[in-house]
Amino acid sequence: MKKSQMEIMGLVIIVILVSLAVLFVVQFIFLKESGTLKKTYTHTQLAANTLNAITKTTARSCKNQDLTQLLQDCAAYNVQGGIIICDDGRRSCDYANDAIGEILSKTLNAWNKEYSLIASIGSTDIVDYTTENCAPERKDIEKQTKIYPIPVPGQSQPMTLRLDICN
Amino acid sequence: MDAILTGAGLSSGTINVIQIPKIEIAFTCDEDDISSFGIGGFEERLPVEVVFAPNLVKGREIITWALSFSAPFKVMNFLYVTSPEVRYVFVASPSNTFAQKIKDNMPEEVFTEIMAPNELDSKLRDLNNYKIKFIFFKNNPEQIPISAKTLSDDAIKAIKVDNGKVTFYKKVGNTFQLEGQSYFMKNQAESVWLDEETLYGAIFSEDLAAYECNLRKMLKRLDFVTQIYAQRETTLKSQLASADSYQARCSPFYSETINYFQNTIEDCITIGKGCDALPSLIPPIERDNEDLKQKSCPLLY
Amino acid sequence: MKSKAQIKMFETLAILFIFFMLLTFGIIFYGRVQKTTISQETQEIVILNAIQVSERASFLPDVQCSFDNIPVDDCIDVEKVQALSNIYLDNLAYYYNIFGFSEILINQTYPDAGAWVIYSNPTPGSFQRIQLPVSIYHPIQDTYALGFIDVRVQG
Repeated sequence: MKKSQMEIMGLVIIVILVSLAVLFVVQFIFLKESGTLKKTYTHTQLAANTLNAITKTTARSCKNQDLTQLLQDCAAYNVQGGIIICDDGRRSCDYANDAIGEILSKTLNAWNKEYSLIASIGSTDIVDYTTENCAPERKDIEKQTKIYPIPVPGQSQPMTLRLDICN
Repeated sequence: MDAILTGAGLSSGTINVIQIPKIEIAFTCDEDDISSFGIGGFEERLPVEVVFAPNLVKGREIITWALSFSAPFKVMNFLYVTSPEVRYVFVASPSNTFAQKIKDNMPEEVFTEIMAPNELDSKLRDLNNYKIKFIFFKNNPEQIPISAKTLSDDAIKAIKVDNGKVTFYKKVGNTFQLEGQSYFMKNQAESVWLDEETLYGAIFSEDLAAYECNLRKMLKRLDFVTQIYAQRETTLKSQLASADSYQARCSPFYSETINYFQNTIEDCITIGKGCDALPSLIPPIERDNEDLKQKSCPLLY
Repeated sequence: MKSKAQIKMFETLAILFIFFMLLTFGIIFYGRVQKTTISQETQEIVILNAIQVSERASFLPDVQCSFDNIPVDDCIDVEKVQALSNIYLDNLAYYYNIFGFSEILINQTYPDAGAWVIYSNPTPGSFQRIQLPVSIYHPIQDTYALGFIDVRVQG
């Protein structure tokens, strides 16, 4: 091989190495996803705080019971829709569902969060609010989950209140 | 370090042992009651946090312990910082169950031991600790124990705990001598402790000045929290008086004890007066709260 | 000979020119990378500070609910908030040590709307925002509403 051809080959190798290095740097520094700390913290706290706040909320026009008590009544007497009848005539299942829906629309929906909130006892779902991209069956997305067991009088197993916040 | 102190101070009752490089952390408190910690010439101020610590914490680990301080409502978390290389020697007779309880409640990661006053010379061994703190219960610290005589004066400190008062001592040659002048107790070397949390503060603090600096920070915090509870009590009393008859029955039970407590705290902070009366103003607030609880009325705290 | 020397000179000059061009591009590129890294690290510090302020606001005894001195997580007592909003302005320097340049609001959304300011000491410019649901306790009625704490930290 002629000397000049060797030199050209050497230059080509150097150019290739430099290009790879530049691509590497661009990938890991310029294109690095920022803000993961805040996202992880916010979503973890969001799931926990939302459930804590929902379960304590007082249903003012339903004999001042809290939503936990209404959900318990709904789970225990699901066939009748609950035996507690609120001031406006709604039963505990309807009242709890409507209240939780309103709360979610003013918080998680307003903040454009993808979530799934399901209250279930055994295989029966009492409350189910799930956005399009956060179905419980999906395993391909990262989720922050909070589960809240609620004992139900007369039932051997507790009701489960589960909130997933999807990234 | 700042994040460690913030995190440790948020949850009370927690003990953390943190591995650190072999560095020295200096804790100070200046005349404006602003404490700070320094590492290698860099200083971080702690204007609000109450951190009881020796003036120097060194070694490969630091121990942080957070306890909630209430009077009677929660005011803040106290943070106690020390090193496993600091030794705490409790000096009390075997029948002193209070001393034993205070020692047992300290984290097991902290190096503590207990012995009777007449056992100090025979039982205390030199274990190469860079600092030793003696905590005497009822007995006056007099002679430095034999095995501690070779240590420098700065390495040995002592306190005497007795009936709500704590007296600070330093090593001078082979004896203990009184140290410092109290802001609260008219320039004596004696200060107050309100409850176990402040007693631990005296145990972990380097000296009287550092202890009272943190006490004054606590009082400032107590002042603000008490103002909030006092305003809350006034609002509850007036709003319940004009509520329905069932709730109106609660109004007479708000006797403004918190207001009186808050005024005394302010006098203590501004003119140093009435500070020793503060512990006696807490039980009436607790009694009022208990009464309200029994009557199903909104609680004071 | 003369032209051969001239060719060699031009060769050397060309190599030097290319070398210095590459060096300049390298320095500019390195500077851009450092700028981006520092900007990201600064952003992380600002976010960490926002999280610290949010945690302090949630756990502050001045506003947190308590029953018989047992604190309740994720709960704000509305009467305490109103009392704090009356006193913090007279003691801004003290509360600045806790919250810095930030704004902390409570917004009630269910069953009815309401808004309270816990602390307001903002400066113009960008800020990090954290919003988290909380229970809002009304002691007179002994009821819990639902809302969220809105923390905006400058940076």
